[in-house]
This record gives sequence, C-alpha cells and structure tokens, in this order.
Amino acid sequence: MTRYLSRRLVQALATIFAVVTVAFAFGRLSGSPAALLLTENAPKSQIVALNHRLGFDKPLWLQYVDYLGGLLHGDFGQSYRQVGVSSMSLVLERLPASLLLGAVGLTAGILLAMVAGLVIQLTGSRGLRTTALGIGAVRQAIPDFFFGLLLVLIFSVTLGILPSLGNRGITSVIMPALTIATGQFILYMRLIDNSLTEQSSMDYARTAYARGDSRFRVVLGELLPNAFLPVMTVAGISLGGFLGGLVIVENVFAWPGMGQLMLSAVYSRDFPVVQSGLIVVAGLFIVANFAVDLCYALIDPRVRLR
Amino acid sequence: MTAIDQIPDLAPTAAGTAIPRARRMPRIPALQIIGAVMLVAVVLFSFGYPLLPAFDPYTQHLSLALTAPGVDAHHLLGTDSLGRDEASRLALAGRVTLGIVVAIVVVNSLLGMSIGIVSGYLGGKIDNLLMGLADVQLAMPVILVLIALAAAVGPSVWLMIGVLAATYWVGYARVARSVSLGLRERDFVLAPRIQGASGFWTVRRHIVPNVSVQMLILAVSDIGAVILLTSSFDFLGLGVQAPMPSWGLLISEGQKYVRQAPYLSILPGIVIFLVVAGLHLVSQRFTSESTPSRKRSPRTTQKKGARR
Repeated sequence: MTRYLSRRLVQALATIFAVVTVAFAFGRLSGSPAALLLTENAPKSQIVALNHRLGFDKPLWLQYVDYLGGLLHGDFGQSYRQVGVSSMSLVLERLPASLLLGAVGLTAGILLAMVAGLVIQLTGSRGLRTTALGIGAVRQAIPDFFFGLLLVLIFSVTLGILPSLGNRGITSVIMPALTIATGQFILYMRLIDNSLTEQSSMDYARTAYARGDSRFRVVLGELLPNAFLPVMTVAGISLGGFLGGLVIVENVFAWPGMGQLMLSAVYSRDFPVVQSGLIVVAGLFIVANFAVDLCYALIDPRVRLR
Repeated sequence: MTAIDQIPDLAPTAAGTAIPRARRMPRIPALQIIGAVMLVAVVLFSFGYPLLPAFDPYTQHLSLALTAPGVDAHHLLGTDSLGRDEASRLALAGRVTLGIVVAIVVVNSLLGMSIGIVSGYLGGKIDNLLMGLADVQLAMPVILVLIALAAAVGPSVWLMIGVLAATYWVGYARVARSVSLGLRERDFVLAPRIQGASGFWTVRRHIVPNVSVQMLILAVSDIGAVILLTSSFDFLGLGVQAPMPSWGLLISEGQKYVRQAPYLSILPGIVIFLVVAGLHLVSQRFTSESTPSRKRSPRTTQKKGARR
C-alpha cells in the first residue's frame, strides 16, 4: 500500500510539473505580455516599466526558475488585472461553485442513467430501450450551450419559474445541472445497459436464477455492482471532457465558477489566473482518478492496489 | 486506457467480404433517408442561398432591427439586433462553420492516418513514442488547451483551427495503427517486400488504400462531433470572431436578445441540430456496413435476454 501511494504521489507531482511547464511556455508565447496589457498606443517607457514590474525583462530561464521557486512557497503569481491579488486565491474562491455544479450534474446524470438501465433490464422491454436511446441521441445532437438556452427560454422566459442567470439560491442550480445531467445521461445509460446485458448471461447470474432468486433481486443485488465497474472507469477517464463541458455550461448560465473566471481571464488577458486555473484542474484530475482507483479496490475484491 | 474507446473497432475490410455485399441491392432504411434529407437541406441552404440576389449578410438596416421572421417580405427569417438579414447571416454562418469543420477533419484524418500507419507498420520504439504522444493528448481536454493559448496570444479562428488540427487526430491514428498492424503480416503485403519493393511503395500500394476507407468512415461520423466542438468554442468567443458569423456565434449573439427575439438563437440551434442529427443517422449506416459483425450481435443478445 505504501509503495502504491508513493508511486501515485510521484505520478501526481510529475503531472503537475508537466502542466506547470506547459502553461509557463504558453504564457510566454506572445513575446511581450506587457504590451498586450496596456492600451494600444501606450508609450514605450510605460511598457518597459510594466515589463520590469512583472519580471518580463529577465531571461526566460530565470523567469521559469523564479516561477517554480514561487510555486514551492505557495506563490502562484499575482493577477495582472487585480494588482496585489494572488491569482490562486481568485481561482480557489470560485472552486466550490464549480464543484457543486459538477457534482450535482454528474450524479444526477449517472442516477438517471442507472434508473433507466435498471428499468429496461427489469422489464426486458425493447421499446423502452429504443425510446431511451432515441432521446439520448437527440440530446447528443443539441450542443450544451443551446440546450441550456432552450431551458432558459422555457423555464425562465415563458414560464418564469426559474432564475436564468447567476447563483441565487438552490433553484439556480437546477437548469445548469439539468444541462449537464442530460448530456452525460446517454453515455452512462448505454454503458450500464450494455454491461447489465453482458452480466445477465454470466454463469453467476444463471446460478442465482437457478437458486430461485427473483429477477429484481438478481439484477439489483448481483448484476448492478458488477455493471457499475465500467461506469467508474469511464467517469474517471472522461473527466477531462466533463470539465470542459462545465466551462461551457457555467458561461451559458453565468454560474460563478472557475470556468467562467478562466474565460473572462482570456478576454482580459489575465494569464496568471488561467495558469492557476490549469493547475487546479490538473489537481482535480489527479484526485478524481485516485478516488476512482480506491473505489475500484473497494467494490471489486480482485483489484489490489500495488 | 484503450478499453473505452469511443471509436468502434473497425476491422480491415477484406476485399472478399465487401464485394458480395455491394452486389446485393442495398435496402436503405427510412431513418437514413431522413438523415440525408436533413443534411442536404442545410448544405443546400448554406451554399445555395448566397447565390440569390437577396443574400446580404453585412448591410445594417437599423430601422428594421429585430424584425421577427415572416413579417418583412425582404427578410423572411427576420433581422438581428443591427437589422442585418438573418437568413443571409445563417447561410454565411453555414459556409463558415462547415468550411472550418471540413478543413479540421481533413487535416486530422490525414495526420492521424500518417501517424497511425507509421506507428503500426514500423512498430517498435517509434510505435511506443507515437502512441505515448497520443495518450498524452487524450488526457488533455482540448478546451483547456485552447483557453490557455487564447489567454496568451488572444482568441482567433486560426488559433482554434490550429489547436483542433494539432490535437484531434488521436482517434484516426489509433484506427490506422490497428489496421496497418493487422495488415503488416499479411501475404499480399509481405510478398512485394520479399521481392525487393521498398517499404514506402508497399505502404502506398497496399496499406494506404485499406486504411483510407476506414479513415473516410471515421471522418464522416466525426464531422458532427467537430461541429459541436467548434460551435461551442465560437459560442464562448474562442473561435470565429464577429462580424463574421458562425452558427455558434449567432447563438451567442442571440442569447442577449433571448427575451425580445428568441428566433435569433433558435434558428441557428435548429440548423446545428439538423446537421449533427442528420450526420448521425447517415453515419450509422456507414459504420454498420463496414462492420458486419455488429449487425448480427445486438439482436441475438436481446433474444437471449428476453427468454430469461
């Protein structure tokens, strides 16, 4: 177990280091960031002064070493736009809202898929499966941002029962979470349906039926735990795409999360904020994959963490 | 990592199985016809409407701003917030979006095909290196890469095209690799090598034709995904920049007037839906045609399940 943990820790540090390095390289691509931050006809002296203040007049390798040194002290660089404010604190301030929305959306999507998969398996109805797959395919052909907009049109503009923008209490989370959940639904429904069907032809399922167990009991007690393994694997792997989708949904509903912050940082060319955001996303990635591994070991006794 | 590949495992088409299938009169299911009609309608509108005299996507008629569809005979689909003709903007947006998407898919499939063939045919260290590179790309969400680069150098349509062209080839490379890996040891590939043909000639003559069929199938089913992706980027302001329209950008502009003029975002949304759903319906035919085993299996497993 210790060997496993230390190996994971080394992997995590290597990932963070790679992200930090790539982000640093991206940040210096534009050559002179100071010129971009000032107005178009700013005098040369002003550019030079700002370059000096932000440390862009030093050689590139020294900037990199400075940045890495700062990271070790917990200094992730100051925001270009909000002078004196740590870029990391801006990101962390927004993190809870993103986590809340992501967790509610993903959980709702997987639950929805599980319920659909179970109902299909319990009733054995082919029509139900076709309907669920059809609805899922239609939803997949609608981009998230347009689906969100349709929800706003129906529930905010026409019916006036849900707030359309921002975070104003518990009702605000409904539409963005619904957008995410319906988008994830088809992926997991297909997966659960496939693996339930596959599991149902296994020997252990036949044995359970032979024992005289009810269909309900076999599907819920025997098949479902096994069918859930691929769900976790996919959840871990598709996390990257999921976080990307979160950025889009946050922007449709003006949800005050990390994604919205990073995008507004793109418009204002506040690179340190984007940089810190990327580091946090990489951290989330590592934690989530670690959690998936742990859950795997918990659910499946054949898996040993080494 | 490979366990959950979205791409169906496409076996190399042995010439023997393809020919008798083609000789039969193919029965085209209704859903595929509907899909094709949806697709053709959008393409015809996007490329046909600009030929009409009514086409004028940029002139502003401020007095006519936010005219609803069907009210003004000169602007059948209404006008936007600056009084520009919505039908013209929609058609131009279609040309812009489809042009960008096709360019990206073509670059991706060619790049992915070359990398995959080199990887699969040569094998060894080069294979490990290239496939390692592919794994790294899979772990990086495209949107975050684009956000990081756009923050550094400023968002532009060329940046979006570049990022997508450079990162989205992994799916193609994997399929091309597995196909050429399977072909490498086949007699018709080995025989010319023994007779002294160069590796390059063999690849061009025997591997490329087999792989390119798979690439074409993959590309057709990929167009829909890339449309959704680029539209999202356009919507976020990371892709096509105003005043040039694109479907995603039109929806984002329409979002501001969602209360007064909902048609501004609904119309481009419907167009995106028609293309993506149409492509999905059409490409299902391609994938099931190319992988005969998939046709049989669902039905037999379902019957087994029903008996229990």
